[in-house]
Amino acid sequence: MTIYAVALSKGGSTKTTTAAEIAAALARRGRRVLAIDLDQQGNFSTRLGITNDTEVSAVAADVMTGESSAREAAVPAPSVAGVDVLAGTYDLATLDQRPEVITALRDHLPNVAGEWDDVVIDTPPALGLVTLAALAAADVVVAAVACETEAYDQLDRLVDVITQRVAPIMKPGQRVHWIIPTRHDTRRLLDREVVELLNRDHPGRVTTPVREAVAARDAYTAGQPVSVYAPGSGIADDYAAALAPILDNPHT
Amino acid sequence: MPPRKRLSIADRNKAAIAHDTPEPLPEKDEGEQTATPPAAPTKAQKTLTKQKKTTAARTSSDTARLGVYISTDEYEDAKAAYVTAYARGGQIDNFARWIAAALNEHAARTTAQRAKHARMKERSPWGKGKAGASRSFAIPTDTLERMQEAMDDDLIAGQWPTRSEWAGDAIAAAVEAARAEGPLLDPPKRLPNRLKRGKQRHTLDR
Repeated sequence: MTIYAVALSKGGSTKTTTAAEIAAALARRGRRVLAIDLDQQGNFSTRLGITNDTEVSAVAADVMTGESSAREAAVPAPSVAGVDVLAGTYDLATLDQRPEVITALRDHLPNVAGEWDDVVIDTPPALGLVTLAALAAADVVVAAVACETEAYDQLDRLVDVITQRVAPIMKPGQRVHWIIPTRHDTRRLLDREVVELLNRDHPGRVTTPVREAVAARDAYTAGQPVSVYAPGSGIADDYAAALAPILDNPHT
Repeated sequence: MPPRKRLSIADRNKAAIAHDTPEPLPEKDEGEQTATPPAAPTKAQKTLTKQKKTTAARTSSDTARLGVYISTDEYEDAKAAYVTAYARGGQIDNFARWIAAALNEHAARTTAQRAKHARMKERSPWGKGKAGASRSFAIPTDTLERMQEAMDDDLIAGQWPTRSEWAGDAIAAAVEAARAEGPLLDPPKRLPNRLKRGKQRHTLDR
């Protein structure tokens, strides 16, 4: 079982869009996928077809606090066959006051390795305990970095947090394994320069960029990953190209 | 253990809001709609928000914040150009107003003229890994409107700078213009809110 965590503390960097694409891509490869939505906004759940009317026995927050198992809480993703979802709800809002959650996923997910082949975790745009819990559990950390200065700056912060707070004890050797430049517009000089700088600072770990596209927003409204909503679109092709090295070689 | 009662996501969210003090929501994802409505503010939060809005209305009814990502060198050059202009007899005694004047000047140029002032890659905050930072300035809204109109004209002409890049070009052009008149003064590390003229031409009120 490989556990992927998509992280960056800058909102709007398309973490959720990227996490949904990873889940969908793994499912297309025949993998059984558990999608864990750790953002109280629940956007990852929404992109996989979960709605306000979806009935659940438990949610992601319950699994984090030990009140439920992933097996009990998981519901099939309406939009992607082969993916089950631990829904993100406002219950996650209080977990940053509960230090015990920091190792919850790291310790619990190995117990459900027989149920799913891979896990994809979407994290909130913050570096609190919930995100640290994802980073402590992940085998592969993927940073979705929008081509803007604010997101570029936050990548350094993510690297520092992992190095100083996760790698020493919680998950020895943990690091950012892959960086996906997102919301890329080839017409903008800044976007090209961000990609150059990412490649300079993280050689060998930067994928090809993913374009900015309205299809990503429309896909959210439709409750689907963009590659399911618009399989022939440019952004879907960009994601396929960007994710290929990650899914083929998860541990670089 | 009896099976857990199944609730809808909407019911789970309502219960979470009802039982817990709402936490501030993380930064809203740009371009992504929220799946559920924001948490209802507590009475204390509503009062604080009202006070903040009132204060904002009193002090900045005709300005808005403009964020500019600018390299350290360019920022120091801008400060130097600003204090030098004042020392030379200029009337602008506030750095944000100097920035606004630079923006107005740049907006008044033609698209072709602005293209000539566009900073080369080496001079941009990203050139050669120069350190930079995002700076925020309170700019009159009519200046921002002129800036947007000029950016729209540039777009039509096939130029695609971001707001930050455009503003950075405007500031760089103002620095160039100041340099053309003579050497620039060394600015203080921290600018005062307002410059004041003393007995010496370049005395600054700290």
